[in-house]
Amino acid sequence: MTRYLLRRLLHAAFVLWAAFTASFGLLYLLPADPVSVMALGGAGGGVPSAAQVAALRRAYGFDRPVPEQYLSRLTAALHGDFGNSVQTGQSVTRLIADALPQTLQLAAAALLLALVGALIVSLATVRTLPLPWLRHAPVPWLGRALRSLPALGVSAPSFWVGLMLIQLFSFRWRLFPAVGDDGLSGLVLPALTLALPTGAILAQVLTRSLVTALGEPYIQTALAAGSGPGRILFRQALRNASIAPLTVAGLLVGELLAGAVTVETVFSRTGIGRATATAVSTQDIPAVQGLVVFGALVCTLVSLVLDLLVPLLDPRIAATAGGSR
Amino acid sequence: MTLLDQPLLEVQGLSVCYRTPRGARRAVRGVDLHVAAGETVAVVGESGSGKSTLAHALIGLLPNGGYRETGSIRFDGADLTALSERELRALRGAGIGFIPQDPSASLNPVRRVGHQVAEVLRIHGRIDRRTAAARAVELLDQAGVSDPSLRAGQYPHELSGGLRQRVLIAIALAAAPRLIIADEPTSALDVTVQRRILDHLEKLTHETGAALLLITHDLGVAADRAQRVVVMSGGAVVESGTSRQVLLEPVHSYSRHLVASAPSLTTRPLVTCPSAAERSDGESGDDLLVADNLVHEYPAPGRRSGVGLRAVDAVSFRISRGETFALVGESGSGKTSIARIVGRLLDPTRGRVLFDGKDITAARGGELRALRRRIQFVQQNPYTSLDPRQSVEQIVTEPLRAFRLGDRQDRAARVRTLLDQVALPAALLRRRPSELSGGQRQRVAIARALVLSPDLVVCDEPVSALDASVQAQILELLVTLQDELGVSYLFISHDLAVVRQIAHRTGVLRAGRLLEAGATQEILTSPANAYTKELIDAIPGSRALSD
Amino acid sequence: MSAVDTADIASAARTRKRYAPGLVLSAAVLVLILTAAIAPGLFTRQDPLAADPIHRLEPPSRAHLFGTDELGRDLYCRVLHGAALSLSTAGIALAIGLLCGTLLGLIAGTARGRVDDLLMRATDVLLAIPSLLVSLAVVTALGFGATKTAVAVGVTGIASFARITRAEVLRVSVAPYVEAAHVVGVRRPTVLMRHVLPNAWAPVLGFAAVSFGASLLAVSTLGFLGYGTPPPTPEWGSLVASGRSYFAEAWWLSTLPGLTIVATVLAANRIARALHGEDGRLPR
Repeated sequence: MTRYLLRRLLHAAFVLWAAFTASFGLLYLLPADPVSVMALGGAGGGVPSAAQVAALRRAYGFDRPVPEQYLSRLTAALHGDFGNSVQTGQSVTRLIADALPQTLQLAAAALLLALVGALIVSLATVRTLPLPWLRHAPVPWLGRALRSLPALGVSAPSFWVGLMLIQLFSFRWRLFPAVGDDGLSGLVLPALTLALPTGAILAQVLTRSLVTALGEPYIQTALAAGSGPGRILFRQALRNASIAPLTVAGLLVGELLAGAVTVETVFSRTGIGRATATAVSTQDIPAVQGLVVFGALVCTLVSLVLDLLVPLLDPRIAATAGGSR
Repeated sequence: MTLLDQPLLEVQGLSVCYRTPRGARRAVRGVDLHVAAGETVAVVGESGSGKSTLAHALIGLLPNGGYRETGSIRFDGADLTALSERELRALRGAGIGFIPQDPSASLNPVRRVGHQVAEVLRIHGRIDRRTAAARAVELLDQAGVSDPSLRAGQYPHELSGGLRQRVLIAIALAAAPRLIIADEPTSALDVTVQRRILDHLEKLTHETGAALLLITHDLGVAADRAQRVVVMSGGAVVESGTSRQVLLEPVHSYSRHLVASAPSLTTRPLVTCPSAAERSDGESGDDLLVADNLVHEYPAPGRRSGVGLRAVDAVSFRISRGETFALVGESGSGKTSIARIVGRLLDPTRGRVLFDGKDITAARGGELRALRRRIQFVQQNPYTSLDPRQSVEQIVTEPLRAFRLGDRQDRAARVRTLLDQVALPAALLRRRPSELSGGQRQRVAIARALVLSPDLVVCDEPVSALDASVQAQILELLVTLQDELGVSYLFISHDLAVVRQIAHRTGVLRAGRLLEAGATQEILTSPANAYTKELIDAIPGSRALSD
Repeated sequence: MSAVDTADIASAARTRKRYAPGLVLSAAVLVLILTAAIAPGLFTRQDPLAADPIHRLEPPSRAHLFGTDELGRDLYCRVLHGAALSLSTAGIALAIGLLCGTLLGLIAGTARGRVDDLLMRATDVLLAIPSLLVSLAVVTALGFGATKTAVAVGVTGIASFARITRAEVLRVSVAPYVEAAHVVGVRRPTVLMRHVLPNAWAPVLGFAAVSFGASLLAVSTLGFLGYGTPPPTPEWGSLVASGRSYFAEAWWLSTLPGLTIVATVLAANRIARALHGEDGRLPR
């Protein structure tokens, strides 16, 4: 098992290094002259003077050869230093650290909502399937309606959903605030908006996975031994079915982080997402690189945790993992 | 008829339909069936006969879209068709036990085996977790699982196929049902394992006094294990009687056909084996293929050095021109690896393969391609060995195109000749594999293998995926082609009964070792090795015939 | 032997509805929107850029189906004209991902060994970063605008397409009929062209169909955040964004363009699912 863990850690380290290198290549090498790009953004609408550009060039070490730049940035990054944001002047790491707690709050609330929502919708959908052993009067329209819910959730852009929620719950019915960071009531609408696409995908995967599990031969064995619908669903099928969504959940946490960009913009909340949007608008290259690597870090950590969890659920994977690969 | 004489299970006029987009399709028509207490009855039929549907209908577990059209099912006096789902649920497991087929998929892969057995006990009785767990271990022991307390804590993927089947038996018997329905319980297992499991099942049913309804496609198994046999075809019962009756004096034409084509029951081979005088054991100039001390090892996973799995262990044999040499073995015997080595799809770790005097073991590139014209391959599964997007004509023409033989007309003529030889109508040329039956597909595969006029065809279990009646036709075809074309076969099989019919000489493989080889008749009548004897005894139907 | 039995049972159980109302509706919606993209003049005679300050911020009415914006421009007209831009950008993004990704996946699946390893590690990295962040990084480097948005979104699709293509190529390569082709003497490149590719492309195309909706959403999001074509050119995402400033008093400005996006994505996904086969395989 330890060998498996070591391999996964090594892989994670590789991914982070590659993310750093790729974003370095993209951001620093691709544009014709990254310095003028950054200077333009940093000047906030005006035209930067030649002196400003030259100062920037020196400050960011663009007068040095590329490999040297890369190595110095890499070593700095390993120490947690991603340079300074052109816009605000503060260190990028500081920027991220300041903005993180708000986003964590939002993401945690959204994840919880998504999980609970997906579970409810999936179980309800499966319950309405015309399976002979469920033997209740099938309500076909309900089944169809439940099945189309996730499709709706996936098709609606989150910026639009957020605006709709604001229109209804803030402007019309005055239940929740439209913008701002304060407290629990300010968290509801943004969390809902963020949770919707994630929850919808989770619901789709879980439903599909449950339906597959229910079609497997071992369900027949259980039915033939006298199991009822409750036992079948919860004791036999659910555990098998939750393996697939768990692997997807890793991807989805990353998408939550990305979704925070739009949600925080729409609701004018402080957080990593808003910081990213601002950084991109001002073409603040160091900040964007820091944020990209940070995103990769979060995803890698989550998938590491999941890699530890999945063998617990599926003993077949535990066998191949702990064995010798 | 007193109450004691009333059969335990009585089915009258049962018809089962499926709702399909094209209307209702009747899978079971007017079936009458009865099983007395403690009796074993076998239902025999090929694929599509409706036997599996019948089994599922009895316990009310028809798949989505299936429903009982007419008929009655009485179990222990009660009419099952009038019971509610809850009452049926109480009956399942406790009154009627069910052993499903396919042990690899019929156990929940993420739950321990012991728990799955204990679950049955907890459904039907008010016992706590600890008592159920202990009883589960006892049940596993009864079902013949070795080291039951250890096994109870294991997951299904850690057990062999035979052990998994035994777990399924334990689950079915856990609540002491009076009737057990076994749906092809051993089809997926090796023949020696099959025999052991069926023996054990027989013993258990005798001990508990339970009745057994055995569903099978193998007439030999049915005749061996059941007192009465019911033959089904196309959803209806065509014949029923005692096993001796059905086996030795079948009345209906279909049953006669089934008895005639069952390889385990046919004692007359299709080929004449060479006599002792003709048989060449020593050097012979007539050898087409010589395998010399073949060894194939799979590297051990994760470790650099050290011996891994030895799939083929110093196997040597020879094949003469125009003869069929069979290699018989169960799973893990290495027979497929040897087939692939001879067919040059796999390189041996050590050893040589000599073809027509030349060493072809290390043949590469152009030399290997040239070889392909002389050594061909027929694969096991006709459902996957043909490209689903090509027509029959394209499939059989492909070898000719690959070697650029002849022009378009020549090729078309050759393909037509071959189709004639494999007894396929020319109308099938434009069809795709999905429109053909299994037997037809295998004929196409054989035609493709022969179109280049090879000297040797390696047949890897070519009839295992086919129904018994179709098997017989394909075997006859292979023999006819051999007579006409003088082609040699390396015939791989797990079924000694099939080999008995078609092979001049046979080799017996076990765990990568060739235990013995010689003329088929001799091996079968006076086997030198104990394992060979075990294989021969395990052929189903031998018991019934020997009475 | 009962495998064929159970196959019968399985096919009987699947009652496939050929012309479900949802499917017909989706097809109709897509046809309408595609027509609007190609020839917006068919649906409206107004000019999307023509300002009419007298009639600013009017709610939907007979004269202005979607109402007017803060400069008095007809919103319905702007949405129609924006269709071409949004759809084409999404289409280009999909094409980039499809072409580059399948090529890489094909190489990885056929070359195996070192090349495969390298390519797979590269896709691992790309998949480890949330796709929006990748797009944002590309936009930061390249700048703003429609084509740059297309590239930004297209790049994120490469990894998924590469993965799927590689998986399908590997799956087909070990199929018995491919081995049989080798045995009868067909050369490797011919086997690839004649057997592997035709059997592998179907699921990849199915995935592409399903990805169009996601592509459109991503493009709209970048437009909403302000990284697409600058105003006054209409684009669905940026239309929603510009409606934000007046959202309290003019709800139609953001709602209706957004609704158009939802309708298009829903319709596209529905049709893709139908083409793809409900169980994920293309029906033959």
